[in-house]
Amino acid sequence: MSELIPEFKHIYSLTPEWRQDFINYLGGTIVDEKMYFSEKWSRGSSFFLEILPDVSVIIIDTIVNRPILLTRMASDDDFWIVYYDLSDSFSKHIVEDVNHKIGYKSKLNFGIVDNKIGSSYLATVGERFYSLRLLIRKSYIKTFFTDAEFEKDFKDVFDDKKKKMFFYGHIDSRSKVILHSLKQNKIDDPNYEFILKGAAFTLLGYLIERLNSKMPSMVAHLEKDIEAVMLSQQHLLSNLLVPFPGIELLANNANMSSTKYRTLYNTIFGVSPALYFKNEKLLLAKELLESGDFKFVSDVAYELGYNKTAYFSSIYKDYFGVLPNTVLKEF
Amino acid sequence: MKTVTYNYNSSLNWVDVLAEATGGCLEGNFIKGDNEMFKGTHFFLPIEDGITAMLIDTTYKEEVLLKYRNENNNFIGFHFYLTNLDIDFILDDEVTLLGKLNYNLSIVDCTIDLDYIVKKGTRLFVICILFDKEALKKYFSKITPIADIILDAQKNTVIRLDRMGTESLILINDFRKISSDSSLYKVYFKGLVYGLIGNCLEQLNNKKIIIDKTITADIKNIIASKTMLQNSIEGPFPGVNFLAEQVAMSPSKYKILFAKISGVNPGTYFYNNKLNRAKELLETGKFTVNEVAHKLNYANVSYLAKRFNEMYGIYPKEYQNLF
Repeated sequence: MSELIPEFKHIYSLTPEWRQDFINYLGGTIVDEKMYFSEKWSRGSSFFLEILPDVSVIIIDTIVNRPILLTRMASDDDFWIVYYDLSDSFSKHIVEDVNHKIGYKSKLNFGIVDNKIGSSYLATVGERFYSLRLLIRKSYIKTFFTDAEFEKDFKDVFDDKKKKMFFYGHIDSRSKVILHSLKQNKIDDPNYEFILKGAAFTLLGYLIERLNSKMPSMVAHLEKDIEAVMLSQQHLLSNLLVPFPGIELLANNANMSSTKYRTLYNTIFGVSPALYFKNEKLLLAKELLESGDFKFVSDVAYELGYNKTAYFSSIYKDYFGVLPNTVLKEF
Repeated sequence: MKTVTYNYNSSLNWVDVLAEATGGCLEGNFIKGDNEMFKGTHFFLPIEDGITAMLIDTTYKEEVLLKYRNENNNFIGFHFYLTNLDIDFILDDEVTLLGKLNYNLSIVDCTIDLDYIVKKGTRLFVICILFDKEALKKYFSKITPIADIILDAQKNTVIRLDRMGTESLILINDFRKISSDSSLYKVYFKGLVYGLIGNCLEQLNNKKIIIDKTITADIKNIIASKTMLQNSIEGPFPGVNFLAEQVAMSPSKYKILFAKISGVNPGTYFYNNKLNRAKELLETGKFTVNEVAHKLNYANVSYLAKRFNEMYGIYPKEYQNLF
């Protein structure tokens, strides 16, 4: 299948030149900071601003009309790309395998990638894709850390020879609120430039605070341990239909003790594995209820491995504020 | 009464003058002062070409007359005031009050001579955004009617007094939580300044808030009543009838005036502020969502969760978990 999907290769830069490639390939026009795509590939627009000599921000708000694989190629510019994804649909990748058993995968909406590593994104047709990216020169980030801290916690991260994506997870709460309110504004509003700059500076502040408080403890762990936890997390998220497998099993898979696993997991994701799993399940439940494929709440509950519909309803209501039954009736 | 004369512009050569006039000393981007007149700081930062911003956070120990006399005429100042006591704002021998219950946003052309009388014990928290006229024209050209709104036709200079919207107040309050020692202070300050400009332009563009040249007693009553609502944010909504009665107005008049000043009706204003309070309580990490719902008098957690998500795009539990 994948060879039939056209691939568009591009790069990012801290200056606006990268946009020309997009327009050449996808069609459309550039008007000052804005970029409007042509209907051929997607409906929507993009906004690019240099907010500091070392920091730029990109907004992409579009609905893709036909499948396309977007590949960002590695380039030599020395900056980080910080992704915030606030697309409409939460778990978009529903894969049907040979047994026609449906598996769900939830998506991590926050990531930091070094520009020297390429990455690909397969856009989902017909869904609103809304994303903000901060491009930050590494030397600028360094200025927020003392030399001692830096030597201890971040040496590897800024080491050019080690090209690695070293963080992905969920958007923190404060940033999510900022992004939510930014999303209410339209790119064509006359004050959009200011609103976006305001949001971008605040996000930058939150990001550096987060790096300061969370990352050191994370970087202090062995890289292979972090990878193992990430891997088990992926496994956990692709098996949302069964009950929580238990810390012991997860820890075992990652080759560590339960205590160590739990601590490391908490450091990376900010919550315990069990709570994270439950929240993901509930978000998936919402999707399922709204999909219209289910007639009864009990069906959704069973689908997700809850034996008691009443229990499912009660935790669902605690989280979302409405009973699953109400959601089902609305759709 | 002591007199301080300010003389500033959108480039930074006024900083030394200011430091001298106030008797403060210059440390980096701060002018810090603690003398017989006042205690506090002035923080200034060039934001971008043509925009400079300053934050004044001072407590005055005696009554002071602040005079603004500018020699150059190339900029326009946006001032956002948060004060505990009212300030007399003097323009052409006409006194207007600025402060908690009066105007708290002014847009003033630098060619106009301004005097402020600040009373003893006033805590003055002001954010000034100075726009180069050229820079402003560039941005304002995107908003056609804006020149008509802020231009004083008789004097052919820009002057406008107004009240800032709730969004701006929330931005400022969020910013005040950040310590001035933080290495991110400048980053957050820029975020704040751009956010304020964005909100302010929207406010002007939508003509959301239109107040005549003088604030009438009725409008003052409404503002007082808003403050009262803020103070009783943890209880139930008292109802428009009760609120109107408190300020001796008919409920319908109250509602219309309230919406005119705040941009939203009393109920929405109250519940939005309640949600903001809920958010702040969750940030402290001292309360569970359940406790917050109880404390703020929500009938149940579910309703709070639903409203919270509508407002902020995230559920309270998630908000707390990811904090």
